[in-house]
Amino acid sequence: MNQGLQFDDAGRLRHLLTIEGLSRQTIVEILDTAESFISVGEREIKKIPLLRGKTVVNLFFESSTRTRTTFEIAAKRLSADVINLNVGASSTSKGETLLDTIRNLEAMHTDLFVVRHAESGAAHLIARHVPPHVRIINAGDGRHAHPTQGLLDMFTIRRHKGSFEKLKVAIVGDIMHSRVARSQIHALKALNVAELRVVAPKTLLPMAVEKLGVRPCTRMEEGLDGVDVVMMLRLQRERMQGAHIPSEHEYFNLYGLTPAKLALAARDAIVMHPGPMNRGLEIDSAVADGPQSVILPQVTYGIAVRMAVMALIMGGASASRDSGMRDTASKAHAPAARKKRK
Amino acid sequence: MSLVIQGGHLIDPANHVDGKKDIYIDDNGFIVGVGKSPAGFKARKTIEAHGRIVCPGLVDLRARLREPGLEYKATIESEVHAAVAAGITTLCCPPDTLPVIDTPAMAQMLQSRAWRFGLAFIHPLGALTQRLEGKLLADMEALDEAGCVGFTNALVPVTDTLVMRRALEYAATLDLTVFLHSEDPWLRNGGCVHEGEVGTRLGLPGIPEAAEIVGVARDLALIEQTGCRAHFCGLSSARAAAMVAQARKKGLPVSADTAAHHLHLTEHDIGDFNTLCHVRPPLRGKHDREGLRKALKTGVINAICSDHQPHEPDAKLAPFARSEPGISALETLLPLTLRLVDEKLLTLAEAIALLTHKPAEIIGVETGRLGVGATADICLFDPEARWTLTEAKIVSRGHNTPFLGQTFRGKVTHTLVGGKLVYEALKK
Repeated sequence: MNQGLQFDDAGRLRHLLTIEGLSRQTIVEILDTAESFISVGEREIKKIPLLRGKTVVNLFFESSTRTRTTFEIAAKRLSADVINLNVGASSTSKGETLLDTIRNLEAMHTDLFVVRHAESGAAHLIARHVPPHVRIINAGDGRHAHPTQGLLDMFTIRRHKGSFEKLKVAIVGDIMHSRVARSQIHALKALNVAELRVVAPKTLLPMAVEKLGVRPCTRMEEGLDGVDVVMMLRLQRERMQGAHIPSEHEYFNLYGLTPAKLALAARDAIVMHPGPMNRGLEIDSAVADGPQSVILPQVTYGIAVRMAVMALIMGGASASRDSGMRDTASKAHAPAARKKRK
Repeated sequence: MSLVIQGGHLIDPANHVDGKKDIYIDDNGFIVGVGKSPAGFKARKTIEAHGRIVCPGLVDLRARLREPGLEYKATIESEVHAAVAAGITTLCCPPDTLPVIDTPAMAQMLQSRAWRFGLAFIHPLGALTQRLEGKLLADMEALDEAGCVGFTNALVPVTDTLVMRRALEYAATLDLTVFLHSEDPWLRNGGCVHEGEVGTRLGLPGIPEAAEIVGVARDLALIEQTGCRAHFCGLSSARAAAMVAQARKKGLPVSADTAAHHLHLTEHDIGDFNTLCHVRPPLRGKHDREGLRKALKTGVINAICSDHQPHEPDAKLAPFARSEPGISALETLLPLTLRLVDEKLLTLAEAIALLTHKPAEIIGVETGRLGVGATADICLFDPEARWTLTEAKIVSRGHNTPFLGQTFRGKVTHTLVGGKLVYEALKK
């Protein structure tokens, strides 16, 4: 269903709006490319000239530290010119529509927009109305999708677990309001995990969630039993207001990940969290800082994964492949080059 | 001008007529003969209707014309032209204009504006409460005198159950019909799509089926107590339709309609955030669409309406939840209803009844039938003509329809209002 908008006529990734509709092959290609970029961050000179002369605008209508910063670092390591715009919710109250904001920035010859917006579908709307040479990466739209987070989570799992087919995975927390959960679900389904559970009280499970191919569980005992990967979600503290949960205390008692609850999972299970964490609400510090936690590596991998997405999206386009690209990280764009010849 | 409509196939469900019959209309716009010419009748004009269906002009129970207040979306003038091009001769307008139709002056203004264009008739629905605030009752008797054919709070819920009870009691006192958009606002909670598979996939806040069920249940309890005659507008779920069916069986004076698009589209048509499918109440699941179709077939739903809501293009160029709900739907009312005939759900006569005398009876207006003595509000259409809906063909100011590019069978060729030919399709 997303095929038309995310891919060009030759089937190359044009925008990254959602993981839904991406094939296993495309996801693996992104992960492989990211793998080759890991070393860039470990070098003395952390830069390759892949996007030299390209303008990337980080357009954040909603505040973010981690995502915006890692996108900025990723673009800079690829030698792009990066502009950060924190538009905030106020721009719409000034009367300018979302599309007008985009058109104005487009007039400044932007090549790639990284967009975060509080409304589901904002990235799709923008992608539908930009000219063909402009690329869009969705950095989070409402409750809908956060595809680069989903991809970096897959990267993290692959690094620590090798392959996906035999894994049992549980996503725990506020599934209903989480764009991260939706992206993780689509990615894990595309990568064919053995079992995927979502764990939350009924007040935080969306209607018909099983249609996404997951098993809903309402008890941690059932949800965590024997899983290889535990993916925690952030709980917004204002959820008490909508009568979703009675209190932080009760939520932590029932759904907070403590060492005792983690013991239900496989002995070598890894624990993930997209951040920012609420220690003592959804996760116990002993787990967050414990040996099974891979929460900080997730952040590190986030840079390489975002570099890979930018490189693939910009590489598959009209981007002229200048000489600089050939002598650095040649393995990195091998997949892109392969695709281009097809 | 006296005229005869000759050689057409007349379908007039109210009078159980379904066959080849000519219609004779006098200088005053009344039908003076059906099937045979009255003595001494001389037609000054003849409309050739071979191969056409001749039926009463369509009666649309819910169309927003956007005037007054939102003239940048559409005007009475633009929309009555669209109506007659679609075979619609009578339109009911909800009171949620700016200002609200809660005074006789507003009600009269709307009708006189329409009268000036001499195209479709407009019948306003009066506000149930002043300014639709759900607190004080509107002057229903005065509004009734000024031509309002029903009373409603439109899409603004009357949250105070006691006010609702009083409104129904008062309407019952004056023998008026109340039009209800039953929905529990707390359960709706700012949702914009059906709470189900698609809303979950797209991360859009959902309106549960229970919002409609709870709303209908509350209102049915009050109808039972007050004895008020009530019409449920725009049912969207199978369960709500079943509740209305049961109430009817119990003898409660209730009727119901649904919008034509709810009989064809489901939540799945939203695809990837297609804002043209953002409507209120929301498109629900396949099960609900089938339930509504069944209710149509069994007569629980007595009318199909357009629920016409024209918008300027910008209204739909926003993230889904921020886009404005509604479809520009006058011009697909007949084609979508005829599609139900093609799909063997309804006979042609049943389909026409749902668009003509049945809605006319709900508003108590003498139209929608073509017997001798009736006003000659007539629609002629070619049942075989195939055509594709394109923006260029849309007469309404609003081009917001998810049916663009679709091919339909059945095309209006002539529309008469009060015996006057007000629309004639260009011949190819």
